[in-house]
Amino acid sequence: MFAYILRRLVYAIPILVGVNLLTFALFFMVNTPDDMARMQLGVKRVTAEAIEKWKAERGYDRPLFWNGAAAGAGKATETIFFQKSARMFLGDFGRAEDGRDIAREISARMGPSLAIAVPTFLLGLGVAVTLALMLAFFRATALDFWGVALCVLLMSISGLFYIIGGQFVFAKVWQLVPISGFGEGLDTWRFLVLPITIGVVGGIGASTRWYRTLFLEEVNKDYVRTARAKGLPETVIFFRHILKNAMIPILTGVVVVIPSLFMGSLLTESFFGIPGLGSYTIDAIQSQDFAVVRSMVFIGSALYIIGLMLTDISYTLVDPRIRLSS
Amino acid sequence: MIMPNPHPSSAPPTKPLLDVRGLALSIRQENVGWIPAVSDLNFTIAAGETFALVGESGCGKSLSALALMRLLPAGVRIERGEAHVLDEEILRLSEAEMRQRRGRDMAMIFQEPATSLNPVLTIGQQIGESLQTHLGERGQRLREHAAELLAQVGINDPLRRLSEYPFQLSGGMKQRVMIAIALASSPRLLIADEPTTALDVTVQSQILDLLQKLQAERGMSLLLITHDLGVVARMADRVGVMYAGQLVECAARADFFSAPRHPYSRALFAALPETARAGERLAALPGQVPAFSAMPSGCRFAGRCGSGDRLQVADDRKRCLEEAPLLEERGDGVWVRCHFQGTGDRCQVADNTRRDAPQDELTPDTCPLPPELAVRGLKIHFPIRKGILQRVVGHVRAVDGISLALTPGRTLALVGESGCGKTTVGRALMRMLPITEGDLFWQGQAVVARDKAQEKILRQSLQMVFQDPYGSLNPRMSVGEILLEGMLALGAVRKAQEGRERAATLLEQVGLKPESLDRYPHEFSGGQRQRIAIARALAVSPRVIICDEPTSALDVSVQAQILNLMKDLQSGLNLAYLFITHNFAVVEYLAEEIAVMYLGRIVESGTTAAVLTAPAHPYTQALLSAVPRIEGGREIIRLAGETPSPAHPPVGCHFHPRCPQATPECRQSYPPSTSVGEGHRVNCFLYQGAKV
Amino acid sequence: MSFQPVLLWSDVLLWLLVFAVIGLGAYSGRARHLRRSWKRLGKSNVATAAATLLCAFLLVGLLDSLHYRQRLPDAPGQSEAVYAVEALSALDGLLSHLREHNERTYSAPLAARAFVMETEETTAGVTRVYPRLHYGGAHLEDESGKAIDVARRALTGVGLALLCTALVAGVVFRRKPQSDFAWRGVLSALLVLFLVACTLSQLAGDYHVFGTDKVGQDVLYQTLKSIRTALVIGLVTTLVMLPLAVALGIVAGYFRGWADDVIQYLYTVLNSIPGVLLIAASVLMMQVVIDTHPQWFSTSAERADLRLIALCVILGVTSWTGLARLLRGETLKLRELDYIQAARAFGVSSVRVITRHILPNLMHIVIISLVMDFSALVLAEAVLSYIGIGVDPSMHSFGSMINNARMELSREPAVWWSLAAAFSFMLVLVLAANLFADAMRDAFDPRHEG
Repeated sequence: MFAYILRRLVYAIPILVGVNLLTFALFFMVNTPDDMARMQLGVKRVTAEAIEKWKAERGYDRPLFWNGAAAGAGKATETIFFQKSARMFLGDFGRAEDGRDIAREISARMGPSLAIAVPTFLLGLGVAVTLALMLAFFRATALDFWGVALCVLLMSISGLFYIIGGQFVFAKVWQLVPISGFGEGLDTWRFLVLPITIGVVGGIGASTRWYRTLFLEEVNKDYVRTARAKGLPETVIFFRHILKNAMIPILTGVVVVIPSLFMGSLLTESFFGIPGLGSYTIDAIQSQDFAVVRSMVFIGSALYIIGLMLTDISYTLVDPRIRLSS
Repeated sequence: MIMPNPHPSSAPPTKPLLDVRGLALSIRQENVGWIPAVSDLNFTIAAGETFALVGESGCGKSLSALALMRLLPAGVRIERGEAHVLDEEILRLSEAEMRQRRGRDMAMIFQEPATSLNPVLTIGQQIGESLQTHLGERGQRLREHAAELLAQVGINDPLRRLSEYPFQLSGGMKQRVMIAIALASSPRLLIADEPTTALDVTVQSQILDLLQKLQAERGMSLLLITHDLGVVARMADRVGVMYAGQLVECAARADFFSAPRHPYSRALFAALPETARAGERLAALPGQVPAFSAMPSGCRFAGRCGSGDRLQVADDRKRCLEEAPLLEERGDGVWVRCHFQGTGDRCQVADNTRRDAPQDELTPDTCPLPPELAVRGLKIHFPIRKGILQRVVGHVRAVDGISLALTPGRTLALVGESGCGKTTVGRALMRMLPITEGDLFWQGQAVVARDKAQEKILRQSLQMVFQDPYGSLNPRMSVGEILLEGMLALGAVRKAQEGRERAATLLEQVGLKPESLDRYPHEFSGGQRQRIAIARALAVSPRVIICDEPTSALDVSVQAQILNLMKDLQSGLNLAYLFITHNFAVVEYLAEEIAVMYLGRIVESGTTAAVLTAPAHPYTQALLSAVPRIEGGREIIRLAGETPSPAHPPVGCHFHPRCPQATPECRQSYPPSTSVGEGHRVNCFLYQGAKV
Repeated sequence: MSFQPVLLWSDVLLWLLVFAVIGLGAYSGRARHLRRSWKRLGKSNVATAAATLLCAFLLVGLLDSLHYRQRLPDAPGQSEAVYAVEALSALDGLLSHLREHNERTYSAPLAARAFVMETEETTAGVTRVYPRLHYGGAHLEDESGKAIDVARRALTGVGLALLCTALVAGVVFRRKPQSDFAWRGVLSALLVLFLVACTLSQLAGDYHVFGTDKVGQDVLYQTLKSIRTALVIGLVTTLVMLPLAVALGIVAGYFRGWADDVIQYLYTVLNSIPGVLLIAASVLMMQVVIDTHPQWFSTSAERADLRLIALCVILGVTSWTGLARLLRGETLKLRELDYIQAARAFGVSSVRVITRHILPNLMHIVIISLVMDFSALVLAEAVLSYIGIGVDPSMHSFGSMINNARMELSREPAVWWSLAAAFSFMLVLVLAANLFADAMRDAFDPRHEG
C-alpha cells in the first residue's frame, strides 16, 4: 500500500512539471513580456521606458531560460522561468498586480471557498444518489420516465440561470436572504443558504441521471438474480447488493474533485460576492492579472493530481478485489 | 387439449414433489409482440429424484427453470400452466408469498459461478443472508451454521473462508459456495442450471459428486438442466428432452440411453463424436433449430428430421408438416412427441441417421511425411511487475518448453484444462505473442526472425480458426470483405473481381451459398459463422490451420457439422491441423496424435489410440476418467483441488500436489520424458523404473 | 452587382461542416450497421421532434452565415462601385426592419411606450412622461387598441401556423409513408415551430415582441443572431476536437508502448489544468496577440470572427481528452478481439486495420459523444462570455445577452425580457440537443443490435 502511494507520487511529478512548462510556454512564449506590458498599461502609445519600468517592477526583465550575464547558479536562477515558474513548487507565487502577496491571499480565501464548496458537494452527492436510487428502484414506471425527463430538463438549463433566477426570486422578490456578501461568525449561514441550494439544484440533473445508469447496470447482473433466488426482499437486494456495488464507481468518480473543492466555484462565488478563490480567479481573469491566473493554474493542477491519487487509493479502499490482491 | 402427465410407470404412489402441468411461456420481441416460446411443458419430479432436462441452446430449458422460480427476466412471461411444489400451486402466488418459498422450498444454482456471486460481499455474508431470511438466525449461531454448510460442500478451513470475497476463490470453489447458499435452508427441490458447464472437467466431476452426495444425504429432488448427455447419464433418474420449446421425449434413464425414441434424441446421440468410430463421418443434423418467431405449425422437428425413410412417403411427410404431434406414452413410462415412434420400435443408438461410408483410413504409422511446422523447446513467459519502478519480479510461465510437429493431412490435438497454456501455444505459433525462447521450423528450415520473405510464406501458410464465432468476425464487414481481406493483404489475388469469384468458391466449399457474400455476420448462426471463419482461413491456401476450440461454443449437432467439414477439408487439401481443445470426445474423433498439457508443459504425448486406450500419466488418466460418458460404468479417478497458478508452479513434478500416486521423488524434480511405447512418451517417475 | 459576397472564416467552416454531415449521411446510408441505427433513431418521436427543432435552429444559423457587403449609392463622379464597410448576413437582410428599428433605450415586450421616463417639453410645461416608441406600436393611432391589435395578429399567426402544419401533414400522408418513420414527432415539432414563427412574424413587423435593450436594440433580433454563435461554438469546436481525439485515442490504444505513454501523459497534463483556467489563459494570450496585431483585420467583424474561431480552437484543444480516453479504452478492447488478430495474422497493415476494423467499430461512440458535446459547448459559451473570455463583446451571443441582462435585473422595476428571451431560446436549443443525444445513444448502442 505504501509503495503504491509512493509510486503514484513519483508518477505525479512529471505531470506537474508538464503543467508548469505548458503554462510557462503559454504565458511567456506566445507573447513577450513587452506585449503583456503594453496590454496592462492599456495605452496605445506607451513609451519604451514605461514598458521597461513595468517589466522591471515585476521581474519580467530577465531572460527566459538562461541568464548568461549572471554569475554561477544565477545563470539558471536569474531567469523568468526559474523566478516565475519553478518557484511555484516552493509555494512562492509572487505578487499580484495590486502588489499583494498571492500565497497569503490564497490562504485567506480558502475558508470562504470551502464553506460553499464542501456543503454543496456533500448535499449534492447525497441528494443525487438518493434520487437515482429511487428512479432505479421504480425503473420502467411512469415515475422513472418523468424523473429522467426532469433530469434532462434540469441539465439543459445553464448554470447562470440557476444563479440569476435564484438570486432574483429568493433574494430580491421574496427577500428571504441577502443577495450577496459574506459574513463573519454565526451569521454566515444566511449568506450560504442560497448559493449552496443553487449549487445543489444546478448539478442534480446530470448526476442523478448518471448514477441511475450505474444502478441500472448493476440491476441486470447475475448476482442480483442469485439474491432473488435466495428469497430476499427487493429492498434488501437494492440497499445491500446493488447499492454496494454501484457505490464503487460513484465514490471513485467523485473523489477526484474533492481536492479541487479548495478552488471554490467560479460562478457562484463571483455572483454572490463571496471572497473565495473562485471569485479571486474570475477577478484576475477579468483584470488580466497574469501572475494570479498562473498561480491558480498551478494550484488547480496540483489539486487535480492529488485527486487522481486519491481516486486510485479510494479504489483500493472500497473494492475488496483491489484491496486484497495488491 | 387434455395432456396426460408423464410418470414413470413404476412411480411410487406418493405425490410428486414437483408437478408441472401445461406450462407455457412467451417472449416479447421488438415490433412483433409476445410470441410463444415454451409450450405445454409437463413433467413431474418425485422426492429424492433427479430429473434432467436436456436440449441444445435456445430450446427453452433455462427459461422453464427460471419460470419455476418465478425469476423470469423482463420480456418473458408465463402464459398459462400450473406448477405444484409440495402440493402448492406456485405460479399464482403473490411475489411476497413466492419470496418465502424461494430459498426455503426450492433453490437454484446457475451456470456462471464467477458472476453469480456478489463481488463486494463476503462469502459469510452471502450465505448468512439466506439463513437470516429463512431461519431467522443471527450472530454466532449464524456463523457456525454458515461454516457448517461450507464444510458440507467440501471447502476446507470454512471459518476462514467465511470472511473471504468471491474473487479469492477458484471457479470450482465458487460453485461450491453457490451450492452452500442454495442449501442454506434445506430446500426440497434444487434446480441446477448447467451447474458445471463453465468448469473444467476434473472440477466438473467434483461438483457432480458433491451434488449426488448432498442429494442422497438430504433426500432432495434435483432438476438438472444441461446440454451434456454425459452428465445426464451420470446423474439423472429420468430424462426429458426439449426441442424448440417443447418436451419431445421423456423417459427413465436406462430406457432413454438404451433406446432413444424421438428422432431428435437419436440425432443427438448420433452427433456425439465419441459414438462415431474414428474416420467415419458424424451424423450431423442439417439446418438449425427454428426461431420462436417462425415456428412450424406441424411437428417442430419435421424440417430437420431424417427419421428412417418415413418422410419419403408423401402422406406421412404431409402429416408431419401439418399436424403437431402430442406427447404420448409409448409404454413403460416412455413419452414421445412423434407421429411415428411406435411402442415396440426399439432401435440401436443412432443407426438410422445418415452416415457416409467411412473414408480410407491412414494407419498412423505409415505416414513418414516430414513435418510442415515444428517447434522445439517453445517457452512463452509473461513478466510480473511490482513495486515503485515496476520491476520484473517473476514470470508467468504460460508455456514452458514444449515441442510439437505438425504433419500434412494429420491432426495433432493439444489437450488440457483451462489455464494450461494451450491457447497461448496456438497464438505464439501464429506470432500473435512474442516467443520467449524456442526454435520454429518451417518445412525443415529454421525460422529466422525478421526475414521478410519467410514471414510472408508463414503468414500465408499458417492460419487460425478461433473459438468464439461471434468475436472472430468483424460485425461491420460483409462476408465478402472478410474473405477478401486476407487474399488482398497477402497478394493472393490482384483484382477484387477475381477475389470475389474465389470467395464464392470458398463459401461453397464450406457449405454456404455464394449469395452470402454481401451479407453481414449478424445474419448468420454460430455454426455458419464458424464456417465463414474457416473459409477466411482457407482463402490464402494455408498448409497448417491452428484450430483453437473451434466447436466448444457450438451445440453438439452443429459441432458435428463443423467437425465433418474440417475432416473433409483436411483430406481434400492435405492440411495439417493443430487442434486445441479440452474435449476428449472431439480428439478421439478427429486427431491422429495427441499431446496432453498441464501447467505449460506436455505431460504425455502419442498416437490418439495409444493415449486414449492406455493413458500413462496419472493426470491423463484422471482427466479421461472424469469425462462424463454416455456409456458410464467406469471408475472415476478423483483429483483433489484445482490447477495451480502458472506464476508459481509447484516444485518438482507440477502435478504432484494433486496426484494420487505421488512419491517423495515427485516433490524433488521434474520427471524427464520416458517412452512407454511406439511414439508414446510420458513425463512421470512411475515409468522411469520400467525403462531402467 | 448590388452586393459583394463576403466570406468569413466561420462561414466557411460552418458550411463545410454541413456538407460533411451530408456526406456522412450518404456514407451511413451505404454502411449497413449505421443505417440500421439511423432507422431505429427514425422510429423515435422524441428524436425526430428534436431533430426538427435543431434543423430550424440550423436554418437560422446558416442564413446568418451568408455574408455580403451592400453597395453604397454611387457618389457623383465615382467610377468604381463602393461597398459598405459593414458585412451583413442574409438573415440581417430578411430582418432588416428589426435591425434598423432601434429605440432610444429599454422598452418592455410589445410596448408602445418606453420603459424609462423622459423629460418632455410640451405647451403645458416640462413633464416627466413615458414617451411613445419610435417604432414599437407606432402604427397605432390610439394606444387603447393595442390589446385588440396584438390579439388579432396573434390569432392570425395561429391560423397561419395551423394552415402550414396541415399543408405539410397533407403532403406527408398523401404520399402514404410505408416506413415506420416517426412523422408524428416531426409534425408536432413543426406545429410548435410554425406557431412561434407565424405569431412572431405577424407581431414583429410593428412591435418589439421581446422588447428592446439598453441601447434600444430589438431583443428578438439579438436572440436570433445569437443562434449562429452558439452553433459555431458547438459545431466548429468538434472540427478541431474530433481529429485530435480520434487520431490520438486510436493510436494510443492500438500501438500502446511509448506512443501510448506520450499520449496519456499529454492528456493527463491537459486534463489536470482546470478547464476554465486553461481556456482563460489561452484566451487572454490570444487577446494579447489580437490586440498587438491590429493590421491583420480589415473590419471589426473580421476580428470578432477570428476571435470566435480562436475560441473554438481553444475549446477543441482543451476538450479532446475525454473522447480520446474513451476511444483509447475501446481500442484496447477491440485490438484483442479475434477478428483483429486474424487480420494481423494476414499481415494487414496497421493503417488498414485501423480504418477497416477499428474505426467503424468506434463510429457509434464518436457520433454519440459529438451530439452530447454540442449541448455542453453551447452552455459553456454562456459561462465563458460571462467571465469575459468568450466571444468578442461586439458579437451577439447568449452569453453576452445574459451578461448584460444580469445588471438589468437589479433595476427597479426589473428588466427581465432579455434574460427571458435568451433563457428560452437556449433552453430549447440545449434541450433538443440533449434529447436527440439521448435518442442517439439508445439507437447507436451496439447492445441493441442482434
